Amino acid sequence: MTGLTVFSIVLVLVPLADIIYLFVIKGLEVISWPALTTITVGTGVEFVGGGISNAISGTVVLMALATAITVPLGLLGGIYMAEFSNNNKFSEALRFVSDVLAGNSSMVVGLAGYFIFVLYFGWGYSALAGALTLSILMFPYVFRTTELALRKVPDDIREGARALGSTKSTTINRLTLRFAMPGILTGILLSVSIGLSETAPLLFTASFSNYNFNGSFLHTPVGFLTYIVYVYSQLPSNSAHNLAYLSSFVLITSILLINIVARVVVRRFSKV
Amino acid sequence: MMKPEPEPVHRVASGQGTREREILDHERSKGLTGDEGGLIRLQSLCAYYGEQKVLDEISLSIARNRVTVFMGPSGCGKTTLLRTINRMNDGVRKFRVTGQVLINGTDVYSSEVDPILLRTRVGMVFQKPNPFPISIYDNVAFGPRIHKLTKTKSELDQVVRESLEKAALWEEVGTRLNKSALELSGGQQQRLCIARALAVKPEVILMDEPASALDPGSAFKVEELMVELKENYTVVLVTHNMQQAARVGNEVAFLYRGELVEFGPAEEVFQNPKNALTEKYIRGTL
Ligand SMILES: Nc1ncnc2c1ncn2[C@@H]1O[C@H](COP(=O)(O)OP(=O)(O)O)[C@@H](O)[C@H]1O
Ligand SMILES: [Mg+2]
Repeated sequence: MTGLTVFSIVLVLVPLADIIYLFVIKGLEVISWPALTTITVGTGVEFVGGGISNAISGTVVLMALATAITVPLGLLGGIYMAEFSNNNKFSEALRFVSDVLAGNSSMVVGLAGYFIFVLYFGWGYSALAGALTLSILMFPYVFRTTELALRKVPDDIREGARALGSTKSTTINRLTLRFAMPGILTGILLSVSIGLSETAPLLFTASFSNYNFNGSFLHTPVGFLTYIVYVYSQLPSNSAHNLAYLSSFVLITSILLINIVARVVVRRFSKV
Repeated sequence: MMKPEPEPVHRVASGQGTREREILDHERSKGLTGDEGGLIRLQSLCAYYGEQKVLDEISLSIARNRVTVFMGPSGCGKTTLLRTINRMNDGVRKFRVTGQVLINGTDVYSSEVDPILLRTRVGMVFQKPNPFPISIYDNVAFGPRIHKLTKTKSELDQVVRESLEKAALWEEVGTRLNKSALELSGGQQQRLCIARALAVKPEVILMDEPASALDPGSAFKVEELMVELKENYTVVLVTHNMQQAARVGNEVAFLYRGELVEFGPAEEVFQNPKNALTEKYIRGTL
């Protein structure tokens, strides 16, 4: 039994380590200041080169916007579910919708985003369409983990506060949210990681652009890192592969960094 | 809400109405039943969880600066009765109260009473110590902070210190107020919860088996504390520990299946119980 467990772990870890190793080695080979700060040149049909600053700036904008939309909604939703809903019909409906969103393939959500935001709302390929589509995919993680983290806070804390004349909202603000914070932060983090690694929904809604984000959220396609990874790794040229390696490296490092920062913050929060 | 009845109707578990009347007369003679004597008066108080009636026409008067004990076997309605006084059961599904809980003559269930304010006047200590997982200081300061009872940091420091002193905890924790409350022992945690309740300056302190989850030594300290607290507060204690009831109680009420079987001075209830049920309970043969 133990042998089997170890074997399975090795089976999973070896390829994973191999992939990470590959991206780190290749990433370090191709990383350079100009590669990070110049835009992509060419479309890949005959030649692609230059840097990935268009994808970095686009990803930052898309993620910032998506997170700004997801976190407040997910938090409010999770707080409602855990502290106010009493498992009523509305909360059941809310959970159902969230579960459906989480269970859907991102391709389907991307298509929906395309039909709703790009076509029906007429925003075209744009940062807003991309970010909203991403936030549909990210929402369930914040929503669910917030609810679960709040439900884990023991009820006798709520009772103790209530007996001191604390209102429900005061108790939530001053006590409950605080103790749920590590869990909530983990959920936010998870959702950001999910958002960062999505490709398909953005293909449908943000398209891609060789230019840096120019400040317009509508009618302007934006670049993003996973596009380069996904599309350029399939092109025959070395220069395209190098851009893909570089983008993977940037993605992996940022997810790693976000995780480390979050760990530190969570630990800070968990301390009394 | 039911209209208050002009004269509370008393019933006794065994149907001995006259005995109940005697107890009542006894109270009257001590001036405990008038508005002036009793700080808290329960009048024909009934409580229900859905169809289940768990308190049945409870009428009695709780005197100021005394320790009034409610004892009775598990499930007889002690906790419910206590939580009815500070309206902690508001919002419990299908919970419903009829009759009156008068504090200083005001029915706490009347529309002009704000349950939030009520709970600052009627503090509560729970069976299981439930300190917040924050510092000792922040635990005690929680109430004063949310109710903005103090203006300056030094005022707040003062309230925290006084509350911890009154709860006989200052000597043990005065030098480590910033430590987590969870690092304290069970008994210390319970006294911290008492200090936390005192910090909002209540008149009444409701205690629901506050010592039952503690080791004997800690339980004894909490008992001592109850006796000290009655100098400045009105203490209502729920316990199923008869020895404890006898040690700390001034008045003792015996509840059985939601009915008030007997109520009177502790010595009388224990040495000369009027009701056969009480006697059985005290002998441990119920
Ligand atoms: N929240 C609740 N919902 C339904 N029934 C309850 C609830 N709390 C207590 N009860 C019932 O009410 C009765 C009295 O309970 P309680 O007041 O806790 O008694 P005690 O504190 O004397 O043990 C019991 O039969 C118990 O099962
Ligand atoms: Mg109880």
